[in-house]
Amino acid sequence: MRKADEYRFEELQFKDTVYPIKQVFIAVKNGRSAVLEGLKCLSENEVKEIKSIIKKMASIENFRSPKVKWRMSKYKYGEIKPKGKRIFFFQKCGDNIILFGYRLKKKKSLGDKVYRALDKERQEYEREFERYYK
Amino acid sequence: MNENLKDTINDIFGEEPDAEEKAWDMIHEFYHLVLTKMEGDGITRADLARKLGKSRASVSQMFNKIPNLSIMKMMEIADAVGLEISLKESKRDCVEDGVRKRRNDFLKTGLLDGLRMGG
Repeated sequence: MRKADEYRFEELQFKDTVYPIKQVFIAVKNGRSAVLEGLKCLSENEVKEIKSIIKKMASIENFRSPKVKWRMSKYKYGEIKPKGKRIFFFQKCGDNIILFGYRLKKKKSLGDKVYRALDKERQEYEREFERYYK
Repeated sequence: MNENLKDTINDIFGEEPDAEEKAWDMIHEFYHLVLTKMEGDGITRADLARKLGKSRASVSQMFNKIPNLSIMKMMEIADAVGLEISLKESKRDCVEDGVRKRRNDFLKTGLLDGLRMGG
């Protein structure tokens, strides 16, 4: 029998954001996080840029950025595109932001198949997050 | 494994921001203010390009540019002297109105003084 997947949500604490308006979590499935693995592929400067974007998403109401799409037109999740090629995916659950996915864009755009698969992941994480925090 | 993960998270997100990260903070806040203003006033990127006398492509590029060295340098110096720099929105119209009013007041007073002196 297949072992059930184990989900965890690690809350991010920022040293310089004392009163965030949103809590940010990194989704971990079976001890692995796609977001952290994605961040590890980036340069130090790129990581700092993403960290700064996430901080602003957590601390500014209706934060607007050319690099953040809060919600895709077809799906219930958003994306952070710091450098075009590397994309991080997140979803909003109430006042919480869950960073759950990462993809490296190889062609001109990621196909709908990938976005559909990500939406499946999103549904999984959303369900588990609600269970986790109830 | 879990500890490694927590350590990685802490290494990335739990550190005090350095000058480079503060520069990113500033540029993100700056673009948030610009985009909010543009949305509020119905200004498109094409309008902005026209106002700046630049092409739409260069305006798009501008929105995705990394902070330039002068901002970095600025933050490094500010950090070095223990100064916190933040971006604040100020109503440009109000400032301009204030300047105009002060100039008019000055002119009025100046003229009156001149008249008094002349009288």
